[in-house]
Amino acid sequence: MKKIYKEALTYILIGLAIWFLIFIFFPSKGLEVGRVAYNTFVQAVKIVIAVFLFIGLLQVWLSSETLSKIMGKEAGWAKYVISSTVPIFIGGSLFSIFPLLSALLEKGASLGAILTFITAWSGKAPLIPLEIHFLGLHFTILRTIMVIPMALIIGVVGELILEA
Amino acid sequence: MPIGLEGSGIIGILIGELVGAFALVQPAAVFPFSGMLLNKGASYTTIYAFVSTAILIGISTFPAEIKFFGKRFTIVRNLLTFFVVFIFSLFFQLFLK
Repeated sequence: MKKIYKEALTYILIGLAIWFLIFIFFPSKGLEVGRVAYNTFVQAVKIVIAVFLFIGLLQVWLSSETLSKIMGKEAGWAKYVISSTVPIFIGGSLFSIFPLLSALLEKGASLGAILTFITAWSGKAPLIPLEIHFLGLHFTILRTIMVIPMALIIGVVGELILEA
Repeated sequence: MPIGLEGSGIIGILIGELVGAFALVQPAAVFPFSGMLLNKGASYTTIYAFVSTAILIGISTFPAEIKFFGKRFTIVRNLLTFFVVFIFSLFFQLFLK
């Protein structure tokens, strides 16, 4: 946790240093930077609160134990159906799902299911409010729906390549 | 400067994908950044390529992925994802019209 704070602080300091330099050389541009930064911050705070509540709820409702049970090797082709849709509702970054997936792999999930899972996870349902706000409803719906066939193709083709 | 207007299709998609693959972005930060690119004149197709690879491919996640799943898995997954995202970007452009 401390590393995250340190990293965040580094970015903030670098940002402030650049802002300071802009202020010295182009004072009017510096004011504009401040105004845009303030507006973006206020907008982001509102959405981030909603998004984090959403992520929290989903993490509680969908435990990793439940997922391991559903995606076991004995689940047959049904695991493709599940691993191409369920991960859409999970939040976090690649770093946070790798440990979960390696646990699934140890419990006997197939490589195809893992590949499908990672790709389907990019659907990012918890971030949908954010996506609609910045990129529009049409884009969001189209991208989220297209994640499913993409996940299936990568899962099936990837397994063929890896097990060849 | 507008990157990847509808006319520059394939090049735009490839640039979007490469930037997404190399960029160090948290998923939650991808959308605000993409919104900014969109306002600056990037096309929806380019943004689609960028968002997909930014979430799925990460040069910065390679070490972790290799540690958990091995070198072969990592290389196959990332290359395959890059290729499939490219194909899907072309479809995305079709569906958008």
